[in-house]
Amino acid sequence: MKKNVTFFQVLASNVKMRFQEDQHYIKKTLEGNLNAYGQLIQKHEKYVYTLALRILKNREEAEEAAQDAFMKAFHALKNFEGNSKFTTWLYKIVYNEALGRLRKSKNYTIKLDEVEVLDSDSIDYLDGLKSLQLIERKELIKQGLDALKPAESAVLTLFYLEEQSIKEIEEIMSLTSSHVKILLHRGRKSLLESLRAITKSELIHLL
Amino acid sequence: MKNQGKEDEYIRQIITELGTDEPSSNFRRSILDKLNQKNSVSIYKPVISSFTWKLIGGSIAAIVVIVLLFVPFSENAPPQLYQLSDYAIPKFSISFPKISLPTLTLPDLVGQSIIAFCVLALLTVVSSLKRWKIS
Repeated sequence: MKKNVTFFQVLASNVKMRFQEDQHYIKKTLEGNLNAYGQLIQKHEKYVYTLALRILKNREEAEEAAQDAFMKAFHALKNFEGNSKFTTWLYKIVYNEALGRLRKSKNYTIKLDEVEVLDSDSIDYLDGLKSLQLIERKELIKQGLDALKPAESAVLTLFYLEEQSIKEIEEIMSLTSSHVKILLHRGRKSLLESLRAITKSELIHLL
Repeated sequence: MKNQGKEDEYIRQIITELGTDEPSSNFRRSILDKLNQKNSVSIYKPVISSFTWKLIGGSIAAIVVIVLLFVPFSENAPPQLYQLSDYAIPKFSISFPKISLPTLTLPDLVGQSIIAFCVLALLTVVSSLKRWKIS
C-alpha cells in the first residue's frame, strides 16, 4: 500500500530525531538520573497529551491524565521488559488512565453496534474542507474529532497519528484484532459523517 | 474497496495535518517536581542515628558498671571494687570419660576400597578447583 508522507509527518520525525533512542533514557532513569526521564517526557509529551485529549475532550483533564500517566510510567519503569515498543507500553498506561477518568465521570462502555453506513459518494461532500484556510480547516477537523466517541477517537489517533499497528493497538486497548478493526472502521465513518455535517453547515454559513 | 482506500488516505491526511496538541509550558516541570517530592519522601531517615544509639547504649552500660563497682551498697561498706578479691572463684573439675577406640580387623578388600575412595575424592576435589579457576 502506497503511503504518502505529509509535511507534518516529516516535521514530527525531525522533532523525534533530536532525541536519542528511548532505551537510552530508560537506562539512565533506572540508574537514578531524573533529568533523563525529563527528556523522555519531552520526547513523548505531545503524543501522550494528544491521546489523552482525544479521549477526554477537555484540556485540563487531559493534562492531568497525561501527567499521572507519566508518573505511573516512572514508577513502573523497572517492570518494562522491552517486549513491546516503549511507546506502546506508555500509550497503554495513558489510555487506561484516561479511560479510568472517563469511567469516573460517566458510565462509559465501548459498544460495537450502530455502525452507520455512509453513502459511497459521501467523501465528495468533504471537498469543501479544502477550500478553507489551514487554521479554519484544523478547527473543523478538531470539531469533527471531538464529536466522536472516545474509543473511536483514540483508535484513529493511535492508528493515523501515532502510527501504531493494529497489533499494537490491540495491546494498548486490550481488545481483539477484529474489535480494533471494527472500531477503526466505525471511527472513520463517524469522522467523515461529522465532518460532512460540519463542512456543509460551515459552507452554508459562509455563503 | 477503492472508495475505502480513498477514505483511509483522506483520514490519514486530515489527522496528520491536524497534528499533535501541546500541553502547557510547565507540564514537564510539574511532573519532575512531583517525582522529586516523592523521591525525597520515600528515603527513610531515622530520627536517632545508629551511632547515637551506640553512644546511648555505651553510656547506659558504663553507668551500670560504675554503679556496680564504685558505689557502695550500704553507707559504711566499701565499694564493690575493693571486695572483688574477697570473692572466691569456684573451682571446676571436669573429668572426661575415658574412651578407648575399638580395635577393628578389616579384610583387605575394605582397606583397598577406602584407599580407592580417598583417591577418587582427591581427584574430584582437584578437578573442581581447576574448573573454578577457569570460570
